[in-house]
Amino acid sequence: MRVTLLTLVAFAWAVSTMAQGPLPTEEVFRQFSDRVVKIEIQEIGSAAKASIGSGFMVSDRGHLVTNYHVVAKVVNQPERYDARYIGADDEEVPVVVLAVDVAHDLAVVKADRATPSYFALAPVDTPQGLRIYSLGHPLDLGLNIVEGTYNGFLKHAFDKRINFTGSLNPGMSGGPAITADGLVAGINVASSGEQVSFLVPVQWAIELYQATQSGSFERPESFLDIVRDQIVARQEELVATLIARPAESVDLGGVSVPTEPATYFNCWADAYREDDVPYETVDHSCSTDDYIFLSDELVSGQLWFYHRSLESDELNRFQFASLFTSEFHQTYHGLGGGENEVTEFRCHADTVARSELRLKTIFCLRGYRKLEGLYDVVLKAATIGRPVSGLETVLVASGVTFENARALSEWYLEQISWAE
Amino acid sequence: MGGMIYVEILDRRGQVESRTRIERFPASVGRGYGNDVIVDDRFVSPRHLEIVEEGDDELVIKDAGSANGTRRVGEDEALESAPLRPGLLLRIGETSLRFATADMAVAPAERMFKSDGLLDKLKSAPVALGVVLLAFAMLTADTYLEAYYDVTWVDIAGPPVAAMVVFALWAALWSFVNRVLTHRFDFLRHASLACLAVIAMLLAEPVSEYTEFLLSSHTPRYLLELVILGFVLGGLIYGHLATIPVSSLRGRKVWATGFAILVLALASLLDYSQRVDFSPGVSITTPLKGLGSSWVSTVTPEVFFEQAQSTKEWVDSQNEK
Repeated sequence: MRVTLLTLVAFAWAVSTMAQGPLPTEEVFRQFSDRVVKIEIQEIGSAAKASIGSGFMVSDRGHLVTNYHVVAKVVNQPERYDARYIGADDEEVPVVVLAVDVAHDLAVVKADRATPSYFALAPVDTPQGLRIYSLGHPLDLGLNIVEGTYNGFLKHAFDKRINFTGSLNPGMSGGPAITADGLVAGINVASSGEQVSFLVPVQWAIELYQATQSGSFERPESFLDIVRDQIVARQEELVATLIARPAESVDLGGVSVPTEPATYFNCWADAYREDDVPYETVDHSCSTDDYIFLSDELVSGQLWFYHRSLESDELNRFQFASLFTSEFHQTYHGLGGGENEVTEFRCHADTVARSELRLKTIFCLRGYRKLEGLYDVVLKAATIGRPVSGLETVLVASGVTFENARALSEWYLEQISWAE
Repeated sequence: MGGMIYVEILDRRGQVESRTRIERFPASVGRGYGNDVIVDDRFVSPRHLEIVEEGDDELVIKDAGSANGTRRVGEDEALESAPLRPGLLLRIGETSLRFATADMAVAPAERMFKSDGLLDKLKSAPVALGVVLLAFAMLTADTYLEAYYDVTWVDIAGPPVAAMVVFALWAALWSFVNRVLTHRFDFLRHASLACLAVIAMLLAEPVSEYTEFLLSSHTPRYLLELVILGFVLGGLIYGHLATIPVSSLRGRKVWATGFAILVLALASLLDYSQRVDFSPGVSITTPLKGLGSSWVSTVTPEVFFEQAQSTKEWVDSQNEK
């Protein structure tokens, strides 16, 4: 009798736990995996897959959401590539791109067939620590489910992104990250090391999908103008808020330079002093985690700056000039870009005098070949006039209009002065 | 006149091909072996003309009934006779003859080392050795002043020693040519010439760097460097050729200029081919100098960004291509 009672109590506890707690991962997978597909990009000539990603149905009429970067080849070279989705039945279903949101790395694609099983997109309440499940096709190994937790938005990004502690791998991009109830919280987009991954908040996917549902919506012939307009709009907002007020300043080797101009910048500093090196350097850099994927070779939307002060007690002024020149000539901008996407950089150099400070200044610009009116800018400056110490600084902004490249550079230079 | 004359046979370019001294008259010129001056020309008669004394020591040239006649150079009319004047030019057959007397004026000697004062000084071994040592010292100083890391004497002396070895090989090459042509090596002189060129380049380096530093523009520096390189290379080749005294002044100038132009053309071509290749990077050439920053011309930020508009125009023009 006692045994029967204990058994009953244990059974009741187990049932109540199952009813209140999260579903086991296998249950989530079983319920929702048929709404997630692999998206394959094919080179039309060779009919072989050029790249893969993931996507998920968001309507019963064939609408799917994925990442912009998954279908970027089709957007950039529609004459060379097309896209299809492959669901649980392994059937290849052609899809066309309907709408893109390049700034948030999203796209809506559509298949010409009914998709009865889909996620209804809706705002979702996601407290930090909520268990979420990411679905996708990592490395083309088949549909996988990855369990992780929701950890709020990235702190150092202008564009909101969700910090997801789970392992996303290439191929999962465009797949959904869902709650145990099957609500989409975000879209898989990137990862950065073990268990640190990023999701696009679902609100942008809702907006993009809803835009395709309005009566006036028409699928454009080419998306390049839309991509350009979206980048222009984003950088207008970013630059306007940034240059509205001066940044904080920091004293580096006797020169006052800008730092942390907004909360979404992440700044680092370090000094380099070694016994066998006859000079010391102090580095200070600030950047955001933002970037906009345009193609495999070209990313945009980045903004960062970097200061380095150099000083020496051992070198004479000629040796220091040689060191300073060599440092100044090294310019890493990390922007990539192929010949058919961007022009070469063109630089303008002069010595700019501001109050008591003389800055050898180089303004370098290159243009996007397919996105008219967008440029990458690299501004470099170095103090001159001191025999054995100096400061060099560089500002890099990608995907900005010329007016904003100039406004940003002017704002930046204004904040460099002798420290009081 | 009378006495003695010279009959010169000229080649097509007017250079003397052969010169015959004649002291006894009458004398004859022709293709036959019995003549005083034998002319190997199938249009010249076996006995073509004679030089005879007439009257008061007057020498006269008389055509000896030749088949094709005797003419003044540049004239068509055949002559029976003509008084012999110093420098008289006649044409017989296809051959030009010039008649000269002992008192005929000639141009002053062309100086072998015209304006070669410096090159003359290098003939002195101590001076040549001094130039070599100066080049070594300057190379060492240059290496030292450009070293911004912890250096040992090996780091400082290494590159100059390596450079001197290269110059020695260069000089050895010229010495070999020198030996083949004139039976002398003149190694030290050739080596000092190479060192002189290095000294010139080392002196030019700060000039070109300061050009860009002060003007903030690369183009004047680039052109200046090309001109300097051209002069130094041309001067170097000229100096080597002048040391081997078998070439004419004109030949030396032609070779030196030709070599300098060739090297500059190759350098420009190489530079151009590198520019044609697409580069995604930013290339900065502006030097930062520890001295003279107060002489640098400056602009206000407004002017700077106004002028930076040119970068947009260039980039947009590239996009239109």
